Amino acid sequence: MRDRYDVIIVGGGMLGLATAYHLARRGVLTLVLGAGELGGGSSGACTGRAQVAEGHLDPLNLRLIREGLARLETLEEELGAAFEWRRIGFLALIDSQHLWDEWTARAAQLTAAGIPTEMLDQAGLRKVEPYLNADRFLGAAYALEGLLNPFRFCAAYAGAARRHGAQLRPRTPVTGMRLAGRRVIAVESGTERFEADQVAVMCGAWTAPVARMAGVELPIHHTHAEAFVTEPVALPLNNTVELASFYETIHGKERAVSVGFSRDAHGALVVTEAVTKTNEFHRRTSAWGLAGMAADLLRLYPALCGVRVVRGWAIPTPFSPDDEPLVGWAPGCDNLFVAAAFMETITAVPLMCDWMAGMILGEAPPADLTLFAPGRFAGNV
Amino acid sequence: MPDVIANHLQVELAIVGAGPAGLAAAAEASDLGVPVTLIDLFPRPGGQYFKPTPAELDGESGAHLSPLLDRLSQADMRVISDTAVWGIFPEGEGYLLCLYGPVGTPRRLLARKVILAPGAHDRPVPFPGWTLPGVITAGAALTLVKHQRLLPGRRFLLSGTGPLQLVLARHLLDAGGEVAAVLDANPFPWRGWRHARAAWGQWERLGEGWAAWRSLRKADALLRWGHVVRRAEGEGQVEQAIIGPVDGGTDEAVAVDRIAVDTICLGHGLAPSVQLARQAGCEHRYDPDQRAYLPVRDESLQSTLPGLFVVGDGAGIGGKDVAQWEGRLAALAAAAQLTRSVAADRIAAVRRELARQRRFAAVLIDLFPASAHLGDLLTDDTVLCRCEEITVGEIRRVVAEGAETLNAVRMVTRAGMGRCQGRMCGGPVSELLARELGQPVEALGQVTPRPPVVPVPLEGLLEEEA
Amino acid sequence: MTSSRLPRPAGSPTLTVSVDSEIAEAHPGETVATVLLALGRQTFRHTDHLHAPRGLFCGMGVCFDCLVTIDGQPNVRACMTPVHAGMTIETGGPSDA
Repeated sequence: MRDRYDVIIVGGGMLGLATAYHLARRGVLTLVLGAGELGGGSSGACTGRAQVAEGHLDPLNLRLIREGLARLETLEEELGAAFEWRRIGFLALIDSQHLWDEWTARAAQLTAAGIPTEMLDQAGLRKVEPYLNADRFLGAAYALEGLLNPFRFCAAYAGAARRHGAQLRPRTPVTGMRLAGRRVIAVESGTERFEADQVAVMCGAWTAPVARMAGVELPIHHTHAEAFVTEPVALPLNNTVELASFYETIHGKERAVSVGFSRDAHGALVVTEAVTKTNEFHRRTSAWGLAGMAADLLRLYPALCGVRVVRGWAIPTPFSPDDEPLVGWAPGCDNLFVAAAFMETITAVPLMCDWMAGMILGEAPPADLTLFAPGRFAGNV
Repeated sequence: MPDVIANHLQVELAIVGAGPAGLAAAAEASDLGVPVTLIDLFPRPGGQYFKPTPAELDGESGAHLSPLLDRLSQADMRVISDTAVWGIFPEGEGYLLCLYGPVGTPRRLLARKVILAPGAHDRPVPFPGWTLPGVITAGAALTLVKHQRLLPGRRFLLSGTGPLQLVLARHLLDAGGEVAAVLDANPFPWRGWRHARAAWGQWERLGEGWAAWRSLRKADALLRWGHVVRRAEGEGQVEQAIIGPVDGGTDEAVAVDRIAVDTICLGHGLAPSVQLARQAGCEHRYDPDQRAYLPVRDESLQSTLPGLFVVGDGAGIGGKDVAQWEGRLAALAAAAQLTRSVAADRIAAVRRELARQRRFAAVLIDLFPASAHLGDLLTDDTVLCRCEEITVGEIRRVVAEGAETLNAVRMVTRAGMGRCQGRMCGGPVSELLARELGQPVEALGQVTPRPPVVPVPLEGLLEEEA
Repeated sequence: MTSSRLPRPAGSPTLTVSVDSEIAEAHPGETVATVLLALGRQTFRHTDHLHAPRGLFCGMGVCFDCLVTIDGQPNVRACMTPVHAGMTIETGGPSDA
């Protein structure tokens, strides 16, 4: 184990591991430091959705989704490991006229941009989801997105990164950084010290506190999100389902539940999301959250009565003030790269992490990423 | 922001588990004027040790099992049966307990003090063929023959360790079964003489063991020390067992016997049910003698969470008598915290008796530990995670690819993600990892227990019944 | 038929249940597992992945191997469920579809 690298990546989730893979492929001496297990943070806590229809509709984001999805189709082959990748229908259930209008416009834009999205009326919705209690919905938006096993997704990138020579250190939390002027010269974990030319911080909600160790303040906030998983379910629920009213429901509340789910490769339902406003970083689940998600799921799918919940979990979920990610060099530091607060992360990973590897090495990204510039909030942190 | 608590049942003392520890705690608390709410998983109190036989199958009442059961009909005792506690959350100065039981059972309960007495389950010990129908735990066999009045087979092999195997064997013989062999993985307890002092006074127990031994000799059962079942074989169910020395590994050259049996009873001791205490947030530490993580407790048996006590087999295997005295001790401490007046000499008397019972229990742990060689029996095709059907070979593969902890193995293979929530495979996977990595089990991390600690139907999680 | 009931108290009542569409006799207080074993049925289901036979293992509700369909509800633990008159019990098949 050496102590000097070209690049140190702080963050052992999908962003860090995929970026490490792309760096290592280019022969760059890369070290990944993860506080917990690889993929054990936000990456493992998600449902594994490769979302396509819910993000921002500017050309940059649309390109990331289109090309990311295309890359995902061949990624298992590229990385030499399976992660239960498949295409699956996505339904945004719509219960109000204004959301219907919004999604109709959105669907048109997505379709024009190469992400076919159609609007289903209530009858159409009932047809694709016969077990859904569709009474209160005007209909739904429907698109074909992706689904994978997030643990295996991370393991696939980790394995490939390792094979190309990257060093991966799970259970190695970063406790401090050493600076010389505006440069980070070392990253510390307890008594261990690692040196590198460039340091990249991409550790989800913890990106802000870690960047702070280098004197950099980033406007990355977080909410606390809970989820649970059931035993395998016989009911043929073959679409990923979310409520279009998610953001309205959550916004401004101390805590709220907006239910959604995907069915994993073993037939179990991974159910989200009970959200709580907090400044604390913790992973506790609550009786309120489990009960809230269960109640809402049963209202949508009464036939799920009797299905057992096997485990709940929770994770701080990062967001930025304008809901666009922060990607790029951190202001106030010469060699700290940051990447966090993505919305449709999994879909963006294959492309973004390839681009970010290049950026870390000093190359210009293939597209203008001003929209994601970490310093864009100058004066508004 | 607090949960809406106005409608929740509020109690001074909640006891989880109505086995010997929970029952004794309830009796002791009641003696001090503390009203008790006792929550139990099974339809009738008694746990595993005082399990009542349904009257329809036996004709006798359960009262003779323990006088503690008679106390339950007192006015200051509320017993909530057939009910699981699926989560415990600190709430103000006490705890919120989340319950799931039959119609009419409260769903939430606020308790100022909590005593957990969750008991234990048979230690799962994988070996090739252990998932075949016909392989059952010693506990299952005992429950079937004693309480369901069913002889669960015709020709039995018992493989495990400790005197409980003899007790089971005697029950099976009395019920008309054939016991082909009783195998104890440990060597003959020559060291037993050293424990004569601790065993002094335990005449009833020693007498039981002796009677069982004689029945077996009379029935021509094979009795072997240092032996285990190495493989179970059959077409869709157990038809024969391959038995051999415990330290023979998977070496084909080791002398083995093939015996025809239809039922194999595994009795390798007990594993404490620590999931609820861990989910609540109590600190646990690995105990190498018990080969289990046990709750860290102070001398009053309080966990690292104030006002939450853990007693009985759920805190470390000690048997029903240790369990009862632990229950009493914790009840005294909980009562004192609830500002009841507790006599110092009562506390002293309880401590003395507990110490005496612990000395005897320690003898059994010393003479009949869970054998360290059991992992040698595993072949690559042995299923380790029964729920998800993950084999030893798959786990060895991910270890070769870099997984170094229980969590890492679990995340990638799904071992431990099934309905049993890792109860069956957690120990065996840890021990396999320890062997593969040459590390002690304590170095491999733990899976953080999350609610619900038992699988609960969606509608059962709600605060109110629909 | 390997498992066998021990003598029940004289005059003890029986009830009938159906096991895979066949009528079977049972006694109040018995669990579904007991009834199945007494009928000589050791295999209660097959697993999803390896289609392996499973039946009773732990007998106390922690292993979730003894799953059968009871009164139309799938994946119920046979060892933890007392029989009632007219219960329908179905065995076999993968436990999630």
